[in-house]
Amino acid sequence: MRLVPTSEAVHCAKCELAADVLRSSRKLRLQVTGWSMLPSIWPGDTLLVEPAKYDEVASGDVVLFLREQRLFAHRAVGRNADDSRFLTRGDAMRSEDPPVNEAELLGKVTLIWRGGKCSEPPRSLAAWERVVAHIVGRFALAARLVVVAHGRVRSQQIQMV
Amino acid sequence: MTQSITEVESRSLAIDIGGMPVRVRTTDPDFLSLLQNRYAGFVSDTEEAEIEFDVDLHPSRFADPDAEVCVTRQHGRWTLRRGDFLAEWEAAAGRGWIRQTANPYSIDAVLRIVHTLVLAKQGGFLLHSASAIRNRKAFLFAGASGAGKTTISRLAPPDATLLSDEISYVRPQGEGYAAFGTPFTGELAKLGENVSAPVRALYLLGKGRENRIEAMAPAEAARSLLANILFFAEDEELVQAVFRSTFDFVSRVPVCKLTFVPDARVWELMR
Repeated sequence: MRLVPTSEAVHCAKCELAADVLRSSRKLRLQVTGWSMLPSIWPGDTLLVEPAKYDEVASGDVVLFLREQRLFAHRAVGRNADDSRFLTRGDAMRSEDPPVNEAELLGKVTLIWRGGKCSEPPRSLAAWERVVAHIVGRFALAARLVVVAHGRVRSQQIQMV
Repeated sequence: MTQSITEVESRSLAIDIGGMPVRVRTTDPDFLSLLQNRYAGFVSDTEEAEIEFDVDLHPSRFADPDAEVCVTRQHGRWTLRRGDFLAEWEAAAGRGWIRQTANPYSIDAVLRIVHTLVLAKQGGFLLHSASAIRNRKAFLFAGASGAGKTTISRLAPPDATLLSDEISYVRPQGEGYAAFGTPFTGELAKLGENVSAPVRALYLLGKGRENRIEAMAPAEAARSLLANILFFAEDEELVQAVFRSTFDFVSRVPVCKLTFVPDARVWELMR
């Protein structure tokens, strides 16, 4: 019997505890690790997530949901035909996620901290952002290059400050 | 361990818990004597104390003796406040003061709080648990009041060394964690031994009809651990540190449910 969990299992446990926080009607701050929401949300960004109910989600919101013990912060893009689930997609993803149900929904991203600055999540992408998202969504190498370049620019900005 | 006090330091003593001596100074010899008895086994003759407190004894009770504990930090200076004491501590300088009446409970609380602050930075924590060493390994037994901490401490066999029946001191050591004895007692009112050992496992206690150990899912283990960690400060940096320590502990030390019949046979599982 394995008594000490794998690092994967520990990561899932962190996600479950984060979900506990939001389900108990408290706010949560968490740091982003993935690039599926580029260029709206970058790896290293800190998100403020507030609890939200199904009826409070509108298209354009960035929502947090828990699926298979993992957290996803993706943009709501609509509802399914019978309005029982809403549809989400990462800005840099080529396709929508499987529809999100009420039980999976945890909350909405209300603020993003990046490089010492705080802003509300954009509800839509500018033209150049759509181009970046399109490229990043199709070429994994491009995603990596964009993230590395962004990290370098950010560290230079921090040094200048 | 000697309990001698030199003439120069005639009104101070060092209380060494977890290998971190805290020097306490007072102008009241009776209070000093009271502390020497209270912390017997944890009084150190070291000249080097990383933390020093001057105790200012007040003859009367405080205005609101029932006020809850409140621990805050401003510009590097900690303020520790409860109905029965007020203390300040400059962490960088390691110096502080305590204002309290001449009782051992207030200073006990201050010491616990200070250790939680220092431990949080080191990746450790104080845990609401009994603990004991057997076969050179430490076993931790956590649970709410009534879960069985006192019972399991009372049932410990002669070859087990009690570290605490109430509050355990846990700190990273090597690839794992070590548990240290503490003078913080529960119902058993018996001081732990001032020794340490690597932690073999943490058990969440529950009484039942048989002795049984069950593995816990990591999320449940982390929830249970968080529920039993003592932490008082309203401080984002240290809260984050404790959160990280919780998951690090869960990823390195087996955390299990221990259901036990309250008799000595449960200790056969602690090998």
